[in-house]
Amino acid sequence: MPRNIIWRFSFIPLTCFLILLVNFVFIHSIKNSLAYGQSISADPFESFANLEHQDDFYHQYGLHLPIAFNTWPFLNEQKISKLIQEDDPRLLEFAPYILPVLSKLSQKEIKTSLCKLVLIGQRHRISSKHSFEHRPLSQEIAVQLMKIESWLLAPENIDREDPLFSMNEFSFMEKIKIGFCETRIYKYFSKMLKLDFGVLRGDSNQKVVPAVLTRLKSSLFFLILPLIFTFIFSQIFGLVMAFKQRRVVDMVLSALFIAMYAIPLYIMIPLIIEKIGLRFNLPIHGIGYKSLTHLILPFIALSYGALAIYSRLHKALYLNLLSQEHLLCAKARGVSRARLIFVHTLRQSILTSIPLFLGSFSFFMGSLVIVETLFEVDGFGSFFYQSILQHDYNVTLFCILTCSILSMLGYLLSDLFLYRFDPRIRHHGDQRVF
Amino acid sequence: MAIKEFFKQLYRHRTAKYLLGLLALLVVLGIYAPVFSSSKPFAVCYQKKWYFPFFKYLFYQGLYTKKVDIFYNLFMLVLPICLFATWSLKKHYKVVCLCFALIQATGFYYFTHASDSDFILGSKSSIKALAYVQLESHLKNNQYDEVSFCLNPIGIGHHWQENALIHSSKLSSIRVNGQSLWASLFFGIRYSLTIALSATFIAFVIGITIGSLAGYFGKKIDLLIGRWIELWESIPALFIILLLVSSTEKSSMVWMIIALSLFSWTSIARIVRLEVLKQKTLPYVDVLKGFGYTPKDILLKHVLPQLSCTLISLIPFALIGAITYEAALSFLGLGDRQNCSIGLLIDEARMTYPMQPELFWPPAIFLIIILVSLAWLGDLSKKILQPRDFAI
Repeated sequence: MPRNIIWRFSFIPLTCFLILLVNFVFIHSIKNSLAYGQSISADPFESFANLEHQDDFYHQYGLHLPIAFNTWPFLNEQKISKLIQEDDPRLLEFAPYILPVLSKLSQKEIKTSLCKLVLIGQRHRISSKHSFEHRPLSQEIAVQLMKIESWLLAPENIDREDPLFSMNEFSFMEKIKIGFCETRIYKYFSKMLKLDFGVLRGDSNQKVVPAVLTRLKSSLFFLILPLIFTFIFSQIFGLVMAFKQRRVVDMVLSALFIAMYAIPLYIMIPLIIEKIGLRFNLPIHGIGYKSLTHLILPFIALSYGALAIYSRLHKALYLNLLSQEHLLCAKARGVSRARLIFVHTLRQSILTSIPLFLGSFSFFMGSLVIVETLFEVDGFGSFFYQSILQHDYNVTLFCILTCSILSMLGYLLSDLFLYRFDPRIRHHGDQRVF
Repeated sequence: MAIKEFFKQLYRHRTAKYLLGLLALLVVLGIYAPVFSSSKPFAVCYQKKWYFPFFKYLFYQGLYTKKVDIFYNLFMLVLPICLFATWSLKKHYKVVCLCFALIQATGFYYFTHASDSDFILGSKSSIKALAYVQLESHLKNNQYDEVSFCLNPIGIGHHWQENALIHSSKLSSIRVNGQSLWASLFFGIRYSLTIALSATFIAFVIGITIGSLAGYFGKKIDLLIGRWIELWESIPALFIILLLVSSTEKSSMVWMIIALSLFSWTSIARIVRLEVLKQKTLPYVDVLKGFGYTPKDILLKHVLPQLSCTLISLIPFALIGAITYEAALSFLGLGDRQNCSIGLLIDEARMTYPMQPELFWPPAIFLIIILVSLAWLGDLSKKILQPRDFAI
């Protein structure tokens, strides 16, 4: 295996890590903005749902925790009592890490610390409300809360031998473990390593991974047909343009392709809908892969931009190939023109154009977003677009990850293809002839 | 190829000349947009007193007059004076340009931080303000009895101010929010011009620095930067840009520029790296090294000027990328809804497309003209730089 391919293999985890890192920075930098979604609607029901979602989001990514290292278990008694006197709001979040020290504090401060404990318990109850497996834990918390509430009413009844007060202090190793594990980075990356991308925003029963993958499956059909079509036709157009260079055909075709390259998809799609869709009575909205007529319009829209770009590229490629000296030599030996094109040139061009197309997945994905939203297809692109509009970060992250993994698989395949079929690369630096 | 020679050859093509002229015309249309799309007269003599309603609206922020617009409104006045001054003081053109840039910057700061955006835009005395209100209502109702002199701008039927006079002209079709379509088109040119120019500028700065570093120092730095570029390119750009732009609703224009430039520097860095690698093998670099020049001097003063033609031929394609991305983002509804970007106009027109083609065609044709002429120019400049590929 050459070095190049090994590097490509290591690409996938590296890029995923990069994207995760970008997303990490992103999620933590928008902490206080409206982006959680209250801005979407003023409907009271929906805003209540938004608040709930915000709470879930907060706990899923552990946004209340410190970023890299948790220093709370290392605090001593004086500092904690000082914090309690100052009534620091952070105490609410970090009480679990200082519980042993809290339980040792003197009688007067116990009351305030107990108040805090009550609040913490309520918070836990809220956060574990949805999940079924947390139910026993929340019951336990509820029992303890009852006890603490009774103590608050009558402080003289406090039972000093209750397990709440006799908690052992954390050992050093435990402190270190809390310090590293109870942080944002650890929580975030451990979640991602377990492939736990959470649930959809609107529907907490539906998980992100299967929801995205089913849509990707239906979208791949839209992707692959235009890919094959543009592959074949850009070869043909490129060959024609290179052969008839500076003739009328070449002039017309290159002007056409420059225009097609420059005119963006979102201008063409209304035109395609009106001129082709309405005239021939083709389905325009709610397109799925039910029948062939459903596929025509998105197919045209998707292959339109790519055809222009790749035909221009192939023209340059063929011009380069046709000026090679061994072709001239073959021509002088009397090789027929058809053989010259189809055997000597086409085989060479395919060696460069197949990797080109395998590496163009991300380009097609980009146009897929626009095409699917305009034709209202329930596919990968429109799903991603909707998730962006609704600030559904779980879906957005997973969509970006799948897209980049797909495009990198394309790169990897193209490298493997070249390694297998291109002798110039396989025998690179190899001096032996036989 | 020297840069002068490049432009000489470009001007020799007739089509290139026309295309450059067309683009310059569009840019001028964009910069002088208020002149072509205002219903306020430049100067009015009303009850034997002079008023200048047009200039009142130029420098006050409003619903449709954003900070960008104030910048361009100021630039509109500064530009001809600056051009005249540089023409008359050819020797000191650098100083003159610097002075006018300073004037532009201070003026922009002053007008964006001006506190009195009063009821009638900064009329200090109440008598004058009252007279002004009367004048406005008279003009609105087409009562020209007491007006002895009135100098109207060119596109009287269009308007961009919020309390504009709506003339029912055949040319002006009305957008959803009540603005004139043509007016918002002219202002849309400003908007996409700003985003495209600044995004490509930032992308070029990043790309040139990184590419030349990789090409010049070679070895480990080259390997590291090359890998970094490959990694960066395998991230799906459109998706990340969508994410970045959607989450920052407040100042979306700045974010759009940042997002666009972050994902377009890689191709520039690649090309610069290759060219610097080529230049490095030439003997003049060795000579300069022997004279004891530092790498910074060699790169900035000798190697990069050699690449200027290649870089210039890249500009049209970079501009196309930025403009299409910007229009696509505002078309998808992620731009600023109150800025009249061309993509936004197309999106509005798409909703009613087959019924009201008069809303769809003007922005579409504007965008097509800009993009096609840019692409053609890029093609021509490529042809000039690599004649070998085109002359077999």
